[in-house]
Amino acid sequence: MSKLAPWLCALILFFLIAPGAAERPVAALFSRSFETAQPGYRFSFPRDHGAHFNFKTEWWYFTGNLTSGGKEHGYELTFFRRGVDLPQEAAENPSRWAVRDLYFAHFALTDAEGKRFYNTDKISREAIGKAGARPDRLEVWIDRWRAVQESDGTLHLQAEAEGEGEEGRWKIDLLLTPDKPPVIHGTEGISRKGGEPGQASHYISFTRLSTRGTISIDGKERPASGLSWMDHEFSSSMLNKNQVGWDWFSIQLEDGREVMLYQIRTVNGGKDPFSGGTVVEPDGTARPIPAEAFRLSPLRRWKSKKSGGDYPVAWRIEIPAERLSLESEPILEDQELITSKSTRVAYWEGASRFRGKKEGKVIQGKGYIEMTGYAEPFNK
Amino acid sequence: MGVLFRWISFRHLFREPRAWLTLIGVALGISVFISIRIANQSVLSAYRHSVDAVAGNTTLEVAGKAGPFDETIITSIREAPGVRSVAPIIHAALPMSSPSSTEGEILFLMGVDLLQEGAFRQYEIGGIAPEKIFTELMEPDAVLLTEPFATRHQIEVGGTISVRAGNRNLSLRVVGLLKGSGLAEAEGGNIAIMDIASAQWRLDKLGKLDRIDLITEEGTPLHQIMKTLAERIGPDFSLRRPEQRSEQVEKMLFAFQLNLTALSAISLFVGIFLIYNTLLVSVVHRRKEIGILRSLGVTRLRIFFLFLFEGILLGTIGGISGVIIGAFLARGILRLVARTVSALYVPIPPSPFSLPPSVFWEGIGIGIIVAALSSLFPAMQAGQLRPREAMEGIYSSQQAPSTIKFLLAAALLGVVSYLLSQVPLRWNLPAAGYLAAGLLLITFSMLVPPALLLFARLIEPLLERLPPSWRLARGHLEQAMRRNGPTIAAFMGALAMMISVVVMIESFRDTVVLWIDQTIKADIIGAPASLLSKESEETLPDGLISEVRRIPGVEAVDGYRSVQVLFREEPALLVGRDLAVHAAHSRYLFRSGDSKEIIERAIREGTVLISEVFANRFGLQEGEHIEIPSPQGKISLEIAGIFYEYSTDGGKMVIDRSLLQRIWKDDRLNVVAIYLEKGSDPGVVRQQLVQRWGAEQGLTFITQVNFKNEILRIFDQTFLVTYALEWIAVVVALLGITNTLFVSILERQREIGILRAIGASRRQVVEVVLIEAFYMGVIGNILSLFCALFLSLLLIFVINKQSFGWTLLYHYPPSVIVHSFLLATLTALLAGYFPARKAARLAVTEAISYE
Repeated sequence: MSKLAPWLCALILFFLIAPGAAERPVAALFSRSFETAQPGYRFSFPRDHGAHFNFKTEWWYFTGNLTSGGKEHGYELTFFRRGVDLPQEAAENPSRWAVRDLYFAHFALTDAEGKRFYNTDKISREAIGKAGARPDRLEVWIDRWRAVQESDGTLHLQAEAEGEGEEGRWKIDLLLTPDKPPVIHGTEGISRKGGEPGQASHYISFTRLSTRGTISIDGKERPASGLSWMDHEFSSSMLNKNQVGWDWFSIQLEDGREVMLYQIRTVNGGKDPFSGGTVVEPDGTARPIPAEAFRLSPLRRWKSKKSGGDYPVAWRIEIPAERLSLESEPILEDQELITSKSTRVAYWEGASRFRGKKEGKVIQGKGYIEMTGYAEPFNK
Repeated sequence: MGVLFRWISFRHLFREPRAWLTLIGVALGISVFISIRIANQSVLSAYRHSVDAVAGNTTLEVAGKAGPFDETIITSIREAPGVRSVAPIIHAALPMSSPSSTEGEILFLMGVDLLQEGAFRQYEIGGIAPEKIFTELMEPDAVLLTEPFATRHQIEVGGTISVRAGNRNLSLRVVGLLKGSGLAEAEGGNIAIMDIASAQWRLDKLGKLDRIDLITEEGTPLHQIMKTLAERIGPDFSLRRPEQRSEQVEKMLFAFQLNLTALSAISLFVGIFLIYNTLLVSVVHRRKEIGILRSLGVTRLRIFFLFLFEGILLGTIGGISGVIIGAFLARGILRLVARTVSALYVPIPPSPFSLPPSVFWEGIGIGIIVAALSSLFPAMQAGQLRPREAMEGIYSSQQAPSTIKFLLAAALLGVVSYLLSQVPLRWNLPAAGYLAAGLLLITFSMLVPPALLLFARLIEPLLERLPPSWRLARGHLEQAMRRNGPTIAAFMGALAMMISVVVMIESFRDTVVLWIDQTIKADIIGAPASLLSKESEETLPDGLISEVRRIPGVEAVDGYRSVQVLFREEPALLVGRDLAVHAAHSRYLFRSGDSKEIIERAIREGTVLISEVFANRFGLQEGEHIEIPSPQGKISLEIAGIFYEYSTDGGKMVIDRSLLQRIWKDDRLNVVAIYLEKGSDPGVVRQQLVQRWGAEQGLTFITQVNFKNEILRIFDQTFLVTYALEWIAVVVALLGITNTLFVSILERQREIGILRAIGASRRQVVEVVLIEAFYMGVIGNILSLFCALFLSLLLIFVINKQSFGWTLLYHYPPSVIVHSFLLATLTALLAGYFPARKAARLAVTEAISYE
């Protein structure tokens, strides 16, 4: 027996994160074949900020640290698109309601001083404009949640929680201006996630987005400004059975550099060799960091009462080659997203402060950390 | 007081069979009233519950006034201010064909976008792993059924069911079961959930939606959201709260239910009389005791309350027993009422029998009020008795009002009643009509004493040759007018109501028969098997009409297509048929004008014909222009004629089929009327039709005779409740007469004793009592026939017309006179039998010494 909410979550689990192997085994039934991320992909913008319907999975991740009235806030707005394999007969259905792609979105807001973390999520089929993404430029939406790149290059984010009562009313309306051109992670245009051919993604980031706009909590709207980060990733095959989750870091340092790191954790608790990262110089040039070139060590853990997940919320980050050593501290410990009001799919994605040394000098920064697979292995 | 009451009242109350008779009568009266209330409420609450289960959290619904509408409107609704969530809905009522146990049932299929449904409705899905629901439901023929439905028909997950969709068979695979409360409780469990994309595809509704459900923001006032939304979607859509669907049905059923309530009140009315009578007897019986109490210093007021309490006690016990009996009775009545409502108005889901606790208090409350009202007068009488008078058993010196006064009162009430009957309908409530009927009954009750005297005088010369018992009985009838009067009045009232209802039903039936004979001329009617279930949307196979035309012996075929539209925000039926064929072979009974002429004008000028009920419902006249919603916006058509029609409750509009085809782009047909050449055998043609389309397509072909019979069968079925109520009223009336005669015996113990002492045999005593009962029956009957004459006029031309809009031809069948006479006489004699036996058994000495 199940209620609707849990199975919607199961659905997210199933469509979004489960690898190909867990899906329906009878390939002949399927009507849709997807491309995999291959080396040598030629990027072109603004087209590649748009949707890639030939790939199975795609997401646009916006995170940012904002200051509003002198108070620290963090936000996350993420859109996912998942191409759906339909049984042959269903694929012939000419109805405009027939599912070709599923769209999901997560929206979270952190109020450090108020020690409150707000989060909610959505799921939708295309449904004649209810949800969708443009293939020619960045524009993705579900209902009134929307991320769009205007013709002048500015990104416009809007999202509003639709919960009941004052408690459930919080929203963002932000304009993001890229300070640097987009960064393509990895080498030869792909970011490898495993040893199999095609087990990789095309991964683009805006690592420094000057942000201004408004945030509203409890119906009170306030101006806010700060820095945001955008990740846009598309692929058809990501994790394999051996990989249980990942830790991802986006760090915006005060010296104008940015660092992105991710480590994929394996079943036996180790770091997958296909982990990696990127350093972005103040002038925008990017340099990949191989897995063996950085070290991530948990400093402090926080246990979620909701999901039981035991998250390392503070980290030591060491990249010896860059002579960079940092320690992270979340602006709030509880920044765990419980999607679809269930404990089945939970991950931690939180605004964090970074402090440490770069070439011997004290340095600070802000950023976001994402930790998946702590509450429950995603490949279950 | 308490002790006094216990000592005096109880002892008397339950020593006599009369008290028990009264109790039974009151209990029956209340039970009938209560059971109708329960049935009415259950039907409404079943409907409301189903609407609520389907609506869930929906706060507003958008529907097309001309049926299914273009799906793209949903985008502008989503963007409307104040709208939080929007859900597209496809729905269809599909007749079922397999498994075989489902045959004749309707499955309500709902196509939804399950991804958004969580906000709207309560789903609890079993029989499937959660992560599989979505992928499984993506299959084009996959459905979720409700657990109660699956259990009832032994369908398992993975199994298939077959339904008729349009003119095709649709085989659906069950992938999961809806459980618990919420949606699983809608439509009595006969609901299936499909993905919106599959539903559009399989039901031939690509690009269309049937409804859009909305959840609005709580912060904004609903009326404000509705106003801006209405402007946004334009005049081709209706916008309403889901509860409005229940309210509409409540409104639609109001007249029907009020009618039933009024009928059930007849028994209650007779019950009032029963208590009145019993208490009157108590007063008579206990004069001596009252005298003693009064001389011991008990005040008048106390005596008054003593009797009032006795009445209320009867009413309370009657009320409690009435509720208990009513609860049992209600089950049967509920089935009948639900069936009638489903046949005439809207499909009522199998109604869970609910017994709201309020009914219990209502029953007792009614019992007490009825008792208090009816015991007021006897209690006053008891209070007014003077001690000495009472102890000596002397009748009060009060005189009965004179005959003139009665006649004057009757004349006055009669005039008021007539004036009330002329008052037009107000607030959908034929209140004036019901009031006029009530006054009419009182008018005729006032006529009882004069009629009794007249009767006694008229028969006096006739009785000279008859045995002395006849004269003795006549004498007593006259003497005991004050007691016999109310008995006869009550009996007359019950009988008159019964006769008038019979006259109304007979008139109705005769009208329908006449209408059938004059308008149903087709030799064979062809339709899907679900033709007679009101909600079916089944259509005929494409190309059927031209193939039928080629069958030897067939002269013409009239294709009939009906679509649902919202006319002035109310659901209405629009029919497109081949009017040329109809004009040539059949006709409409127009209120005025020649059928052929009017129909030909309708074809030529593209005007509309409307049924009388429809005209009354919306207050329309010939020559007026009406705006009918269509897929191409509103079309304005002139009303060419208004015809009598008795087949559907809400009435209908009829246009030529070519007009419907052109504007609705709809070539489908629901029914064909087949006219044969002279001399060809309907049986032979029918055989061919059945062979061609019967088994495979599941169509039925009904010959004219069978079709007519079927209509009448449904007609009779819908009046079953009415008849049942009538019979109960007669039973209660019978108890009333028995009761009165018991009193009569009591009062006459001394007289009977003297009769016996001077040589009358027991047999003769029995005769005297029975003859008196017979006289009472005859007076009651004659008056009731006159009363029923007026009452039935009121029922047919005022109450029924105002409530339902039908014009009925008045027909007072002579057989009613004979039947009612037999019934009245038998009833009176039966009621007199037991008192008569009691009288005969009285010991002479005891009887004489009685005072």
